[in-house]
Amino acid sequence: MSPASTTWKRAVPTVLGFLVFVAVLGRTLWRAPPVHNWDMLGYMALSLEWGVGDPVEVHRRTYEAARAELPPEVFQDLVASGVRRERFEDPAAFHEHLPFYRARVLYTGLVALVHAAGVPLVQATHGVSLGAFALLAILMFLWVSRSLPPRAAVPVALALAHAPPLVNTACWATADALATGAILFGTYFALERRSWLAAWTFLVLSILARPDSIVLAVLWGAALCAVPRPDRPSVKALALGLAACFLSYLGVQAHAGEYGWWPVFQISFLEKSIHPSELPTAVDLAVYRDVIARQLAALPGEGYFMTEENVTGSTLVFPYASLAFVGLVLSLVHRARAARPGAIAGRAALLAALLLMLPLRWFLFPQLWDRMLAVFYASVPLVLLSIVSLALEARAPRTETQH
Amino acid sequence: MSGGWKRVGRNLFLLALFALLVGRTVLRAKPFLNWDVLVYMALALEWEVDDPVEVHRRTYAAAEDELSLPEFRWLTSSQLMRARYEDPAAFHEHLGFFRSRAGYTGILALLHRAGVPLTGTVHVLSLGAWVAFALLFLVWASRHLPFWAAVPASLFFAHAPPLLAATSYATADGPAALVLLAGIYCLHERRSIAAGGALLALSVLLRTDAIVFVLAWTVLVLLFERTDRALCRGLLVTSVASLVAFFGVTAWAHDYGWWRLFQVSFIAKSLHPSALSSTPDLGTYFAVLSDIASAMPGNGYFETERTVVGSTLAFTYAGFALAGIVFLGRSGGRARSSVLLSALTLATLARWILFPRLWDRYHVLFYAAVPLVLLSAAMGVLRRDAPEVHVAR
Repeated sequence: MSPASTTWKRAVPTVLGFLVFVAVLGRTLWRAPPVHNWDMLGYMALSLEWGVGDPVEVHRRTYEAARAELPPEVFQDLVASGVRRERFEDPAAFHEHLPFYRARVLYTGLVALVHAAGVPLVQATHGVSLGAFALLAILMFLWVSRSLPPRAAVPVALALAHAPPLVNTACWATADALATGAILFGTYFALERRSWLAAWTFLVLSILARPDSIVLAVLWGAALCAVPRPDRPSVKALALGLAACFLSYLGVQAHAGEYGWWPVFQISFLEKSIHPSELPTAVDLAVYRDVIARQLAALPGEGYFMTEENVTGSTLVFPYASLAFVGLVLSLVHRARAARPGAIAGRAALLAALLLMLPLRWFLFPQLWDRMLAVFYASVPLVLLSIVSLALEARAPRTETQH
Repeated sequence: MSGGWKRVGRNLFLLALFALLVGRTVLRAKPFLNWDVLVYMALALEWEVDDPVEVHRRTYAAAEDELSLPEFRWLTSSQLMRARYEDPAAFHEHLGFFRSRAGYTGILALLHRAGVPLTGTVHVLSLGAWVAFALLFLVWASRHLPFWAAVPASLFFAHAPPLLAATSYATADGPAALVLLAGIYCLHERRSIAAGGALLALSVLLRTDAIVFVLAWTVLVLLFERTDRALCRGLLVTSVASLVAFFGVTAWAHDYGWWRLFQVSFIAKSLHPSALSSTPDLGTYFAVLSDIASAMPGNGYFETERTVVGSTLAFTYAGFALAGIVFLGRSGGRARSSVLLSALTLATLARWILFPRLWDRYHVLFYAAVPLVLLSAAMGVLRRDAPEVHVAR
């Protein structure tokens, strides 16, 4: 057989696989039903804020766009009663609520850019989430392709990307999909490409998309200390990376005029507030304990968590945690016998950080919502695949000899 | 204290923790009231009462007595539900769809005879099956992981949404999947061919469509693992026994067959299902299949008016299974695990083609078995489980 025909034989399945991947992904994006939650209005306003200084004008243009672009019944629901009505009628009350989201500058900046390119504002908020999901799926394919041949990598990557929490996250007009994508790119560059500069850059971007991404960045940075060189950055580089994360975190918090964690907790778990700036910022431990006890008592429920209109999460986090835990045990037990123990240790460090992140985030915000844990759902299977692939590397020579 | 005692003490503590958390989930589980509960109650009564009118009367009397008023009202709320409530013959006509689950309704009858209220039996059995799932996970996982790791791993696996969802429904899905999983455990993990085969055949009496998996596994083993003669023989005998059980129980139940079930599930409910056509209309079938396929993946979840019934998690688990098969192929061993993973995936696909719903409770076996088979395969390969590699060749 000529080399040209061999090349063709190899290329055709790869091209076909790529086309299938693009077609399925495109279909998912096309059919993703957008969730029109109230946060969408906040993000629309903040994207307008990049070009409009006057809060009254931002408020007017936000609701004007929502009224024009949303179905009437959806718009009515967003302005129906309670705090929603107040924020609709009072620009100052609306404006007072925006600091809860303003720190997510990467998301609002991208929405502004997409809107400036001619996309209607409502669609722009969802478009960025969908775009982030598409990039996430492509990255999953790239990551999986490093362990599996293309004919298997296409369906496996598509299957992993279509995990319910990830598809669900793509439907929300929030910064979660973008932050998840940025973190995943960061971990990919660190673990698969050993490019720590790119890794920290993406982690900083994830903080600019969602400041609480710093939790994972710090935990991972700490876990990396246990990994031998050269599978982790030098102490100096690690410190610089973490410093960049902290600086970006503090920077966006200061820019946003954030109210802090306790007011977010109060409006999320106690009562909505028209004037969140007046809420106490000192933590009331008794109240906090009550909320934690209440949220804990609601677990595991029937496996799914719902609001009146949407599915928000599930106990899928438990089997994924189990997978991560088993991956961690597997790494610890078999690391010594692997061809590249340092590489396995690097991945185990990320699994440990992801596992530690879960309770930490839950205690800060006691909900098992898909979109808030999307990074967990995206990372765990990829890191596991990578660990298994590395663990098998050591066994390949012996297997070949046996054959 | 010696090291042995310390280990026993630690394991007992872990076991107590396991029991505590499983017990907590059971105590907090809320039964989901679907109309099928009445059918299963009636079929449990049928084991001791022959007269359809009396079965109908006692079923609704028990429901009225044991359920709250709003719950009972809901069970008679729609036009069809009302008609079945008022007309024993119409109610009786519907039972033909479920009667073949004789193993399941038989256990319900026994529970009722033991003093469990009739409406409670279905949920007791679903919850009991979930507890048994958790225990089986623990037993399976502890064969491959240290006990301290097996306890949290199995607890977490047992709390997967599809398994938890199965605890709340009054259906045979959880118990049937449990018996299938126990059969897989015996055959795949313990090489106990007789016990495993018996359990697989028994599962058909709990839910007749369990036969799809039994046949899929048998065919794949015969095609790709002929060298494992004991397993081939065992599965062949099991398939024959399962087919006998399948045809026997469906004939005994006067089952209406697949196409009538398909029609009442996807086209229109019917007060007189026996009057429906039993010859498949392929045009209608493919139109339904296409409608349902085009609605996927949506937002990742499938919902009815009242609850979440399923999700795209089946895709993800299929991805795990495929990755496992590729890795196993590359490692040069564990063909048996690859065949089992393929059988689980193909059976799920076949069931979807027959009944195109990715509802959690229909695919409990897939969600329960895939992680466990992957776990044992991965640990087996990493331990260089030589004996099985020889078998595979």
